[in-house]
Amino acid sequence: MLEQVKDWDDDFYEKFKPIAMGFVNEAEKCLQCGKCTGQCPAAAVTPSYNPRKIIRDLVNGNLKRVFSSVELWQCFFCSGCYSVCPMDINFPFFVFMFRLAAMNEGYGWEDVKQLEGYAEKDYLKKGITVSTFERNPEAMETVGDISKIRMAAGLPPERKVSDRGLAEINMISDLSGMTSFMKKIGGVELLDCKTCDDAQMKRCKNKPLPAKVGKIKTKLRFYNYGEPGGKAHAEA
Amino acid sequence: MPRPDKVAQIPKPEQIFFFKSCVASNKYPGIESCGWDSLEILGVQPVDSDEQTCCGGFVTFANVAAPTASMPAVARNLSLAEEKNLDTCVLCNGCWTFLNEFGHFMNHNEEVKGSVNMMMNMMGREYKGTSNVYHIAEMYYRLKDDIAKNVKRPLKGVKVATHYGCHYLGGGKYTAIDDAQMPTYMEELIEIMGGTVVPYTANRECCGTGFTQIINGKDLSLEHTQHKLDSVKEADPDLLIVQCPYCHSQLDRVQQQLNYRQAAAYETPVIHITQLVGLALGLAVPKLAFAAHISGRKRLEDVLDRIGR
Repeated sequence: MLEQVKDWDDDFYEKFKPIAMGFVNEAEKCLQCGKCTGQCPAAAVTPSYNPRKIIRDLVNGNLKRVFSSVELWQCFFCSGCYSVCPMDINFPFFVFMFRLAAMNEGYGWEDVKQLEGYAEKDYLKKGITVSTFERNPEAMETVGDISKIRMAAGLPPERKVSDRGLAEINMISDLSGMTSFMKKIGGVELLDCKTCDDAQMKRCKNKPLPAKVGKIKTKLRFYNYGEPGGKAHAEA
Repeated sequence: MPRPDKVAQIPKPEQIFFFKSCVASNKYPGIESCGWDSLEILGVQPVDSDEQTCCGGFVTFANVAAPTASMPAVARNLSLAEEKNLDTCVLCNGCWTFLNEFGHFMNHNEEVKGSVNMMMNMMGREYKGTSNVYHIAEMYYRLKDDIAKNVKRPLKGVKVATHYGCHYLGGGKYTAIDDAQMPTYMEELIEIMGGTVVPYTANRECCGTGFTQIINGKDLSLEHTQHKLDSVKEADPDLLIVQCPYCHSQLDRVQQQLNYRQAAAYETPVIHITQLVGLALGLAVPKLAFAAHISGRKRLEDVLDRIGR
C-alpha cells in the first residue's frame, strides 16, 4: 500500500492519547534509532515487521497503514524493544492499544475469536486460563493423567478456585463489558485432533478467512510494511 | 551482573503470599510443589488462598479483555495478599510483569484506582497498593546463602544452560534485579548448587510463544523456537533452566512437535528454576513431577541416576 499525504493526520496522536488510558505516551520522543527492530524476535522471522516504522506512523498520524496491516498482529510481546529503548518507549503497550483500535475499525477479529474460548471456557468458568485438556494426542499419551502426577507431588488432584473467587471475576467481567464483548463476537469452535471430522479436517488444512465474526464484518489485512518474510513465503 | 541495591530491597519475610500460575498448576505441577516446599526449607512460609485466580494476562494480551476489565482482576488478586499484610511471590514471568505493571499503573493514576476501587467495594474488598510482587527466582537469589547451606543433592557434573525469558528482565527494566541484556543471577545460583554452566549463543532470545503467536501465527512461532533450540542443541546441556512456566511449556512441547513435523531430534529436558532448586535441596523424586515433562525424559532419568535419587 502506497503512502499518501492525505493519509496523514496531524492531530491523530493527540486524539489517541486520552483514549489509550495513558498506555500510549511519549511516542514523540522516539529517535528512530531502530534498536527495537534490531533485537526484535518477530522481525528476525518476518523482516517486514518493523516497530520503528509503526511508531513513526503513529506520530505522523498515518493510522490507516497501521490498522490495516498484518504486521500489527505479529508482535510477540517480549518487551525486548522496551528494554533496549534509549527513550523508554513501552512499545508492547502501543501494540496492545493499537490492536484494540484496529478492532474498532474492523480488522483482526478472526484472530481474537480464536482466543475468546480461553476466556469463556477456562478463565470465567474455572478461574484458570490454561486447562488440563491436552490438544496434542502424543503429549497426552506421554504424560497420562495429570491429577495422578499432582497427587504424587503432594498437591490436591485438581487446582480449584473457590466459588466466591469465580463469582467475583464473573462480576468484574459483567461490569467492565467483557461479557457483552464476548457475546458480540460469538462462541468459538476450537478444533482438536481427537474429535475432528472430515469437514473440520478440510478446514484445518486450508483455513478460509471468515468474512464475519459473530455480528462483526471483518476487513482484509495487508502486508503494509514490505515483503512478508518467513520460511513459508521464502519457498513460495 | 545483579544490582546489589535492588537485591537488598527484597525483604526476607517469615511469610509470603504464594501466587500460583495456570500453566504450572495444570501442565507442570512440579513447579508448584517444588516452589512451595523449597520456600519452606529456606525459612519462608508460603501462604495460599483458594480465591486467587489467573492473573488475567493471557486474556488481556489476546485482546479479549480490555484494560478496563483486567485492572480490577489484578487489583482483586493483589488485595488478597493485602488482606493478609503480605508481599506476593509469583512463579511466572507473565504474572510478575502483569501484576507489577498494572499495579504500578493503578498506584500512579488516582482516577483509575478510584474507579477500580468502586468495583472492589461492591464485593467487599479494597485495593490499597501496598503489596510488592516478587518473582521466585529473585527470592532465591536473595536467599542464596540459605540455599548454599541446605544443598543435599549437589548437581555435580550436570551441565546446565539458562533461559531467562522476556517479561521479567525486559518488561521490568528498572524493577528487575539484573540487567536486561546480560543477566547472570541464575548462573550464580547454578554454581552455588554445584552445577556447570553451559553458555550458548541464543540465550537472550525469546522462546517464541509470543503470548498468542503459538495459536494465531504458528509458523512464526515454531520458526523462532527452532532457531533457539538449534543453538541449545549445539551447546548440548543436560538441563535447560527456565524461570517462566509459559517458556517451559513452549520449549518442552515444541521439541516434540518439531521432531514429528520435520523428523528432527531435539531431546533437551527443560525444567523450571524451582524444580532445579528442589532437586538440589533434596526433595523426593515424585515431588519434582518429572512425569509431566515431554521432551528428554530419558536424559532427565540419567541426570537423576548420576546425582542420586
